[in-house]
Amino acid sequence: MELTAPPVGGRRPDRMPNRSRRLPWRRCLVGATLALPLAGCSDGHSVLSAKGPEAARVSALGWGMIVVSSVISAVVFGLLAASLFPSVRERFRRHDETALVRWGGVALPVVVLLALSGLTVAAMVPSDDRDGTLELTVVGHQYWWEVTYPGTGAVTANEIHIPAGRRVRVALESPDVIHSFWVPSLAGKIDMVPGRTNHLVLEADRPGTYRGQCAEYCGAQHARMAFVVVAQEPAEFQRWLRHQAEPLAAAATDRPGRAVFERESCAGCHTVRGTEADGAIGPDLTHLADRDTIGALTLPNDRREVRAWVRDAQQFKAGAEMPPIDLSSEDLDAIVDYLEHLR
Amino acid sequence: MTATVEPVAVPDAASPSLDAVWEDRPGIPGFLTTVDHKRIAVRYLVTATAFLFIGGLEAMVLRAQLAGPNGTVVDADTYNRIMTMHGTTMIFLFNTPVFAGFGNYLVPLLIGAREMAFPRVNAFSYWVYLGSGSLLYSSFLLHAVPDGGWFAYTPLTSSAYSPDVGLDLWAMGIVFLGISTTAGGINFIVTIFRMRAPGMTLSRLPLFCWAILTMSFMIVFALPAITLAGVLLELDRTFGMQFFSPAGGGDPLLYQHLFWIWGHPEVYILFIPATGIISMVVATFSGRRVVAYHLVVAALVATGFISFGLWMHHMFATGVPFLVASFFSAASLVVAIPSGVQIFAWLATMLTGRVRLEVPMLFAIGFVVTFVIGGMTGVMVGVVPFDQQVTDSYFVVAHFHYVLIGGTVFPAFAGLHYWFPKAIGRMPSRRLGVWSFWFTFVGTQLTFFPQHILGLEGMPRRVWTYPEGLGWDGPNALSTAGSVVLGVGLLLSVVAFALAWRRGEPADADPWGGETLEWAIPSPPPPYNFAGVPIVRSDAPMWDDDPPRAITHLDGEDLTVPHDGHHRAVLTSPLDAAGLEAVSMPEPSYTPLVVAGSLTLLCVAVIASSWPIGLVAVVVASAALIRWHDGIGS
Ligand code: HEC
Ligand SMILES: [Cu+2]
Repeated sequence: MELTAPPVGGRRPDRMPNRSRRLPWRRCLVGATLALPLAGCSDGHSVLSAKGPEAARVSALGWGMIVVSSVISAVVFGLLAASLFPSVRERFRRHDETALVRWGGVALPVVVLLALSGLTVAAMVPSDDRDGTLELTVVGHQYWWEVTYPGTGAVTANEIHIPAGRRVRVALESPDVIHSFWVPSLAGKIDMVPGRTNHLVLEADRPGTYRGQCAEYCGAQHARMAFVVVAQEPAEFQRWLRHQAEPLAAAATDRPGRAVFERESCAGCHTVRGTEADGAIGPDLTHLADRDTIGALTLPNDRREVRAWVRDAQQFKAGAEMPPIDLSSEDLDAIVDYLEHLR
Repeated sequence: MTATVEPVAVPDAASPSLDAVWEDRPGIPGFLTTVDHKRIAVRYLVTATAFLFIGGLEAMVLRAQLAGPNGTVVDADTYNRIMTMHGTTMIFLFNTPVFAGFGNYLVPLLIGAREMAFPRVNAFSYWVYLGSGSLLYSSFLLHAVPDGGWFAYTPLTSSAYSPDVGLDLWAMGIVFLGISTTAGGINFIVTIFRMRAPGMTLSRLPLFCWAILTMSFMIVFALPAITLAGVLLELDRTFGMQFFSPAGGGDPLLYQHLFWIWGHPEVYILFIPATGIISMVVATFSGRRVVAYHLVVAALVATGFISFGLWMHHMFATGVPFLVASFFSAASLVVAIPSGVQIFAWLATMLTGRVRLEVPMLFAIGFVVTFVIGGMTGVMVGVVPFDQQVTDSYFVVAHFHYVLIGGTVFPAFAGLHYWFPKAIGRMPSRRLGVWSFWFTFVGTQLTFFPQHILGLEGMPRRVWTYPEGLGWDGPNALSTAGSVVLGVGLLLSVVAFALAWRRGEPADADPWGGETLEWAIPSPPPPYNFAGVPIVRSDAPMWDDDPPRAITHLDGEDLTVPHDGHHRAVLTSPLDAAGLEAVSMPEPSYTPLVVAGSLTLLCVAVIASSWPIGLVAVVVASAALIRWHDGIGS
């Protein structure tokens, strides 16, 4: 495990290829002249700077609507301003006064909205299922994300790896309350509704880390229910997936902390595959050390923070389902050491 | 336009006895028993404005917490509860009632009537409103403020996830308030159809009354859905029924359907009366009737209808089938057309009239600007794929604050400045009003414009905190700063009203040169409004010098004279306001207060599961209901 912590919401530098060189300055320039001067200027989690085909359809539509509505607003504001000048009013008074209402209030919206309806429906038509779509399941829990790769045995949390350039069909479920799965730069959001399974297509053009967050208010720590999508080169992704499917790392089997972990309440809530710990309330910890953050992007995954979290997670995430745990300092160190070896 | 106000022709002999008959008892008994629509209206307006500032204060706490990343002003739990109360307060306790207040004050005056059709029901509606507001706010005393967000989605609001009594208070409060709103709506409908002055055919009905009429019909049809949602939620919570729980064969989305079948029309229930105020203000300060009156009426009615076909556009992210989503998307776009008609009708009125920039007009212009922006983003969120990106993000927060602040707060303040001289008889300071407008306007833009950017940058709504480094810090700081400016702006208006109330310039009967009948009577109006029966012979009764307003003896019988010492009013036929008929109206009584009070107690009993309290409440309410008609003349 790296001991230098990545920042909260952490991205390892090696996962952010060419980030500084790909500043979408052109978007910003366009944006600055339009109504939304700041939109689209930052990377990683913006609706208007799409990083995949699903989001790109929407961002194009979004920009188009921003332009058209800016123009229409400008016309309305112009007329409003004109009404304050007597000379302009004189000119208007000579015309049929209801004409403005018929043209501006009826004809204009009808034309614009008809066009927009067409574009909307076109953008809604689901893209074809191509061959080799990858399937994975994300289950929203108060307040973290369980990620499983069906057929592989791989289970992880709050970090969704996908191969770049490939269509990924995500099944979305929830056992408790309604959550909503949202990765702004990759796709629109879909709710996770108890009793149903919804689906969403994710696709990232290029490797990178894309931030996502729960978008449906789901209780106390709705704000701290974030995650990342890590898009990798396909080969790298396959390696990652194979590794995640493996049980407890050999290096961890004899760590003294293992016994403490299994003796204490931890095992009742957490699973470490290949050990007695098979709890299902909290995240699977089998490969915890591979993750950049803990607590759904609440803290960086480093020794000090993990120690503080294990002692009292409530301090960082009041209302989360993990209680404060009364451990001696030695036990705590042992557990943290064990967790660090869960690679 | 000449706005010379002729003194209303009052039959001399009748005048003193009119006062004697219509005057409320002095002091507290008069206060508790009054059925005067004007007093009740002022109560509505004062209470709603108080709730506006309470909700505003809550908003300030939220904004303070979000001013920067990792805020420490409040913790997660407190934030969520205050956020829930902010939304609930603004929608239920400010926005809906404030227009009930305007409607109550103005509908009888605008149609030349002496009272609402059901004066005691009117008093009852207000007391129920006060009761349900108190019920909701008692949660602060009980340390159980609801935490489910203002739309209280299940399962988060089921007893498993929100065990304390807060949500019970919420559900009962909302259901109870529905009684008040529905009763008010029916009252408006009957008043407008039966109490119009002779000659005021439907096609002469002032646009404000058309707006209130449309709103009232919408209330009557939309309210049952939220009542049902609230009742089912409460049954789920207290009796463990499973309407919304998949484990028991229920469905959480059922709640969402019920909620939004009310919730979407509700947006227009709030917005439509506001457009009515704007139509009155724009007409007066442009010095001409609103252009394309018939189109505007058609637009109002169309909005009312279409708004019932939109509810699923709040649910595009729940996994809606393609065809359904397309239908609701199209409907969401269509509803923009009537709004366009209204905007352009006001523009045409201003362009062909002579605009005077008095304070009410400034607020009306502020409304147009803000609402147009909110309307544009409204069209955007009607587009399903775009909505799936921005729904539940700060973009939507920005959108509906533009619509609600632009579409209802600006009109409400336009209306307050416009009719304050009529109601109180004194002019609020123009200077303060202008300052208030600019602060409010700039504050609104500063607070909410950056939130569009936050939403597009991926910030979800209803988050109590956010980490640094996401590009959200700047827009959030700006938004918080703006909210202070906005708060100051609204406060300045209140200061202007308070000062004017104490020592403002006296206002004459028609200070603005208005077009409608309320300006024909003294400011403030006498308790009986019109000493005689006004006869309407034109579309803009105050602006037609010829023939003058004729008021008094009709059909040989003097309808203005109190009959047997009872309140007297005239009824006319629903469509063309003909066929006069004199009736005696209900007079002041304690029963509305007693019934409302005991029903509030009944709600408490249900929440506390206390049979004895419930029994007492039912007995008292029944006893009072039996005596409801006491003192009503034949
Ligand atoms: C009552 C169940 C429960 C118990 C007992 C419990 N946890 Fe947790 N734990 C959780 C839940 C739930 C989460 C996810 C919290 C969140 O992010 O909202 C969690 C999160 C964690 C995480 C962060 C995982 C990640 O990827 O974000 C670690 C590490 C962890 N727990 C370790 C422990 C240890 C060590 C113990 C025993 C000392 C323990 N837990 C006991 C429920 C529990
Ligand atoms: Cu969530």
